[in-house]
Amino acid sequence: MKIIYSCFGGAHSSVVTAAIHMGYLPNNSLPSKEEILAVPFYDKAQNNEIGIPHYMGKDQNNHIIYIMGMGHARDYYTEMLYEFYNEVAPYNNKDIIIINVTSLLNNYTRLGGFMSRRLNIISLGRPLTVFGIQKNYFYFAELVKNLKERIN
Amino acid sequence: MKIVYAYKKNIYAAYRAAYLHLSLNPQLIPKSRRELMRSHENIKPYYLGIDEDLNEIYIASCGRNYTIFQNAMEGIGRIYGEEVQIILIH
Repeated sequence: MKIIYSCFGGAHSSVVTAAIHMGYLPNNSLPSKEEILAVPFYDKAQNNEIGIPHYMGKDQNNHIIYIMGMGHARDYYTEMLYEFYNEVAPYNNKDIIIINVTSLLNNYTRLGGFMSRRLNIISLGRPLTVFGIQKNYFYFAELVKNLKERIN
Repeated sequence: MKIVYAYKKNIYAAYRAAYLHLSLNPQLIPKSRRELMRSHENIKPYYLGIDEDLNEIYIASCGRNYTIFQNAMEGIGRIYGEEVQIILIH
């Protein structure tokens, strides 16, 4: 099974959710700022990389985890990718899930992400994204827990 | 390889390009532009045929952002080992 966590830019919420899934971040306690910043791809994606699925790794059940940004039209691109998947891999037994985690974001992360990725004010934006992620952290952990229960 | 002719608004131009690619007569494109748009309301790549090099030709709307569309479609292709080429028709 391939699992793609998607968000707006593929830099914060999808990265954190994938990191929880992979076990890079704890699912039952709040990680520190340093732990979040140490996650691969966190606050790194550039604008021209939006849409590219980045490989995060394999989880303990051999599910392959990707992260991906989808911009504003995430519903459109999600549907298009599922349809295109049917063309690319018609004989696979639906082995892909695209999960959008943008709805779990709060305005701290949105503003921080905009400052860091769009305006390049990293020194202000990046800590703000971490603050926002920490505030909603257990929503991300809950989502991963629910997904794992469903697919395993 | 899968080749997708992507359009933002001008579906007729994308059809015309795909028909030329497939060595079909573009005058055979059956409907008017408005009817074409109406018949392509579903979000999916529409399969048109196979060219002489056995590439599969599709038509798809690229949505709001061409770069995201291209990255995402080529990315899905990479994941499943399928070469994908996106051609934007303005």
